Amino acid sequence: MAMVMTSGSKKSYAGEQNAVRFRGVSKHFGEGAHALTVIRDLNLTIGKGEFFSLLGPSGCGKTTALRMIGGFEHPSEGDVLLDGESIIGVPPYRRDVNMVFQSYSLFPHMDVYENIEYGLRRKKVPRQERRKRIADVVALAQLDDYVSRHPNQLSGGQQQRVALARALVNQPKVLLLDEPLAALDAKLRGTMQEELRRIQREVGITFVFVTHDQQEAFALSDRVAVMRAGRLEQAGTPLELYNKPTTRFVADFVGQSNFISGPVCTMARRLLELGQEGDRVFLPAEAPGTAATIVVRPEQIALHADQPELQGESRSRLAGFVSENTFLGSKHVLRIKTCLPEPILVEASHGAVSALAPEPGRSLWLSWRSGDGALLAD
Amino acid sequence: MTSITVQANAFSTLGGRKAAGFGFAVVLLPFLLYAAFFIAPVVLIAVQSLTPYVVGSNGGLSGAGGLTLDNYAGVFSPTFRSVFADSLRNALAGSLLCLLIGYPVAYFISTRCSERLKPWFLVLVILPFWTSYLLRMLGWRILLGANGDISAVLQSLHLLALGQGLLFTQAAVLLGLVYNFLPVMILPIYVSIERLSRDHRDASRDLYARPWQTFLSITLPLTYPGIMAGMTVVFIMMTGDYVTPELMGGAKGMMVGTLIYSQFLQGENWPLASAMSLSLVFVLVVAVLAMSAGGSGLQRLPTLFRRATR
Repeated sequence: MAMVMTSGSKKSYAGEQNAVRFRGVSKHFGEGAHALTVIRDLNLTIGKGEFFSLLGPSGCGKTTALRMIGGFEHPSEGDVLLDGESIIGVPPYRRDVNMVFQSYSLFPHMDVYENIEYGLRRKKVPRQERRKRIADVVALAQLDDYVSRHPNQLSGGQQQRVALARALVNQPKVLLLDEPLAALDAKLRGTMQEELRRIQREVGITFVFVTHDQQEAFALSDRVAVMRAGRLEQAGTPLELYNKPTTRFVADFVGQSNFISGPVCTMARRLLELGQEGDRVFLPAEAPGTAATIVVRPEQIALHADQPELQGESRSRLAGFVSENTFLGSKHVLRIKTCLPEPILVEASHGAVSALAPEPGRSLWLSWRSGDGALLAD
Repeated sequence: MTSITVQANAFSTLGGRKAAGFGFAVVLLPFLLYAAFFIAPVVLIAVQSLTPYVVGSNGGLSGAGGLTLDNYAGVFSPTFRSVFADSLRNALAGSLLCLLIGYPVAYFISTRCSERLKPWFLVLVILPFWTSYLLRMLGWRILLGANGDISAVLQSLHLLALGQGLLFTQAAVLLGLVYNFLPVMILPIYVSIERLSRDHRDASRDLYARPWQTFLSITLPLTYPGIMAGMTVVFIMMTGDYVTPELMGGAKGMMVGTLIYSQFLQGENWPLASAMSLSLVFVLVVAVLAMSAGGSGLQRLPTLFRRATR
């Protein structure tokens, strides 16, 4: 299978040309006072062979960005490049990209075979090659038993696979997926996630995936771009987004977070002044301004009965007392009241917690590696 | 139209779940009306059509017993046959013209107008119905007459001889039919295009189909039910319409309806008129069946072609 052969070796993004690039893209709908800006100055690169997700709440502009790659929306300003070439003004039927629509939009008057064949016929692919490519993609999507069915005789998951096959058979440079799993039930969604990942690895085509589900984006993607109100908040690997979020929105959107803010100490630029004896919160890097906020994840925090040693600036510590202790079977979630306005969430294993017997009201110490904290830009 | 469907659905659930008796009552009333004012008259006409004709008495009904097929022999007289053929030809040409004009209009309203403007365009489509039918037809007669504005323009372009009008020609008959029944074609087609999701057309464009290819292989086949609904209704209504042809075509506008009407009210031959009426119904049923068979045949052609060239 031609498209599989390119994928055998390990993927590497460094040095490779970008599959898709947004350069200063904005999009406004309407004019004058009623103008609505759905994308503001978007700059983004998607590497070849990447499984890339656009993640954000509804109305953040992620679908519009995807439809721009497909050619269904046009930027008001800026440029969209495919394989290094501008595709502004190129109609969808001349773009080497294919889309899996949220509604699948299979053609109801054609059977599965004819649906898959549609793009190949329009591209005038010769009969023999057509047959071969369809056979390959039918095997890849495990549709062998359904080729002569009509879309209304298929389940949601099967329709989903047909939509995927219909797009993949054209061997596009980029495959666009617009929340393709949103209509499936939770169990099937899990299975289809694994399927998608497997298929993407096998064909090696760049996937651009739109979703509002953070877990889905993290489970599937090599890299994720988080968008909010038309702006790109942060792009990076799931690990980078989780461990080193640069904005409060990203930190909040991808998992549980503790935000610790305060004025930066004028004498030591990496220390926050929190004003309680013994508390020491160090920033992972020198803050640019006079105040700073860091994010610490609940599972990065350790609990101590007595005041822990600081070991220079490498650990931070806070004193507090338990306000709530929730047992979740595999772990405990504790809310610790400190000198900060918001209680600190701590996730700890059963073993770590039972030694401390943390009933509400018990005072204890929190500590974490200063480097684990992520400095926020805003 | 969509909201009507929704209401109808709501009604059927209501009847099915909670008040089956109420649902039955709701259906019963229209059924009784239908039986009293449609089925009974048809039976009456059927009986009349088999009654022997007696000159000059009570619409030609003898009152005496006995059944005969003589009236049906009268139906197939050369005059009636040619008028019949004219009617069907006019109706077919008229409904095809309606389709050719109506489809682009429906397509434009559904796909090129903003949601805000759509209702206004639909109002424009049915706006002519807000004035009296006769006034509209008389208006056309003035425009198409020998001294009318349209004829004057055509005369100055030497497309018509001086003193000649368009009125009382086959063209005028067709024009009148198309003008009257166009909305009946546009509305069902509009609904079928509305029901077609935008994503289907986008998916086709995404799969390398040019606009005309998308239209031919996606939009047209998927709006086929709307086309057939429009064609059937318009064809039947046009075949039965005899006022428009008479107003626009005069003597040339003799349609089967005119013939039946004159047999009932002037010729006083009710048995023959009844036989003509039933024959018309029969021919219409056959014509509509043929049309839908032809239509689905046409609709299957692309599929057969795709299968053959797989």
